[in-house]
Amino acid sequence: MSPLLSCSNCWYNGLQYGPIGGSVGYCTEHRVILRAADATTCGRQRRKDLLFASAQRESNSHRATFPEDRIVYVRVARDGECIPANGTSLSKELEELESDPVGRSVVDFNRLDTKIGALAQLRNLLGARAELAMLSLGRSYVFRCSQRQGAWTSGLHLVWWLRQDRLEREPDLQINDLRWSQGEPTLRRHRELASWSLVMLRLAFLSDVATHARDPLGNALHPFAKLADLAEEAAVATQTTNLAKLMRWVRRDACKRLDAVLPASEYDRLAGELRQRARQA
Amino acid sequence: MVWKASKDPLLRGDHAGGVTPPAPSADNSLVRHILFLGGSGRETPYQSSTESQSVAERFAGKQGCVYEASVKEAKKQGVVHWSRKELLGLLKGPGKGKASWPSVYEVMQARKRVEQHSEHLLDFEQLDVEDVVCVCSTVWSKR
Repeated sequence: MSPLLSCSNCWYNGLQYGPIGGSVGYCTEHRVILRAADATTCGRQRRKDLLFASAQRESNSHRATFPEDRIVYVRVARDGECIPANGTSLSKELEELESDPVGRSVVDFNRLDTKIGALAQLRNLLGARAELAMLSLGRSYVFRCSQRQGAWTSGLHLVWWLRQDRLEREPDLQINDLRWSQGEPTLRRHRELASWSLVMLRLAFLSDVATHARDPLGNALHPFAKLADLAEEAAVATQTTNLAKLMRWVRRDACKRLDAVLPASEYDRLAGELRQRARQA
Repeated sequence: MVWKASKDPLLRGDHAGGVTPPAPSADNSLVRHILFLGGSGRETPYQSSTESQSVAERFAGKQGCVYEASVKEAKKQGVVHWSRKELLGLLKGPGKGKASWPSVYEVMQARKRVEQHSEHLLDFEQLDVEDVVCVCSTVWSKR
């Protein structure tokens, strides 16, 4: 099985993405530590590397092959045979993640009363791993809210935090944020590609939120829906995996377009509506 | 050290029972193959390989095995070799030739993977389906 189909490339694992992350992941769906995330999967897997429509399509075919109620280990040695994942590939020893602030926050995503509270913790942590967790779980959070007929504004604060704190800056990705480094000829290029992936994940998150800002007939519920193709447009504009070029496009185009549809006054208004809805609930 | 087709082998991590045979008549989109679109078990006319021993070991996992192939022998058997450099040349913008794809974002994701894994492809599209297993066992040997 390709790692692209595994837990390491799934929205619900905020601790790993390609080479980024530590030696273990954490699944917020099954609430277990993933000790062999490149070799395990389940029917709920949703691919981090794809935009919403493609991730949805691939998820449908994945669900037809793998069980949703448990994580399985896919054995390379037996031509893709699935066996139940055991203690060597999964662990419930959640206390092992406590010493890592990012690990603690992703576990809190399941423990705290509000998931947005755990995402707010991640906002306040520095570094690429915290950003990865916020974006990855953020995608799962807005998706789940939309599935439950929630408002597209469930991701409003995440969008705002991303704009305020990170969008114009290159990811703060250090070499020890990478769980593997073999392959690409130079280490610098390897780190640059990982940073490029994170910037694209930011744009994928914004595109996701904008996709949810449409009604079932495709009509825009808010001008934010104009950003639904933002990640695709970034790829069209930059044509290649060049981090500097992508960051220039983000600063020049993406930020301007985001600010046009979500100025501070509009953010305050929508946040007020969210607070009111929460009080009524 | 720069990998050279004339002297360095292509490496592949696969299951210990032998390399997974490709399907010559399957969809020949390079992006579909590299991004593993279509789900687990989908057919492809390509075999992924790498310049890097450690990448091949990672794909083999604990229970798999690393195989090696010479580009010269593969070509002799009628298999087309797409080098990393050639793939990167095709995976730009909307993609060129067999890398042409409706989503530029996905072309870029495929490009990233080729770079990250120092990926090369062996293309079996021109082979007869009944020859594939035999050619695979001639081209690939356990390392």
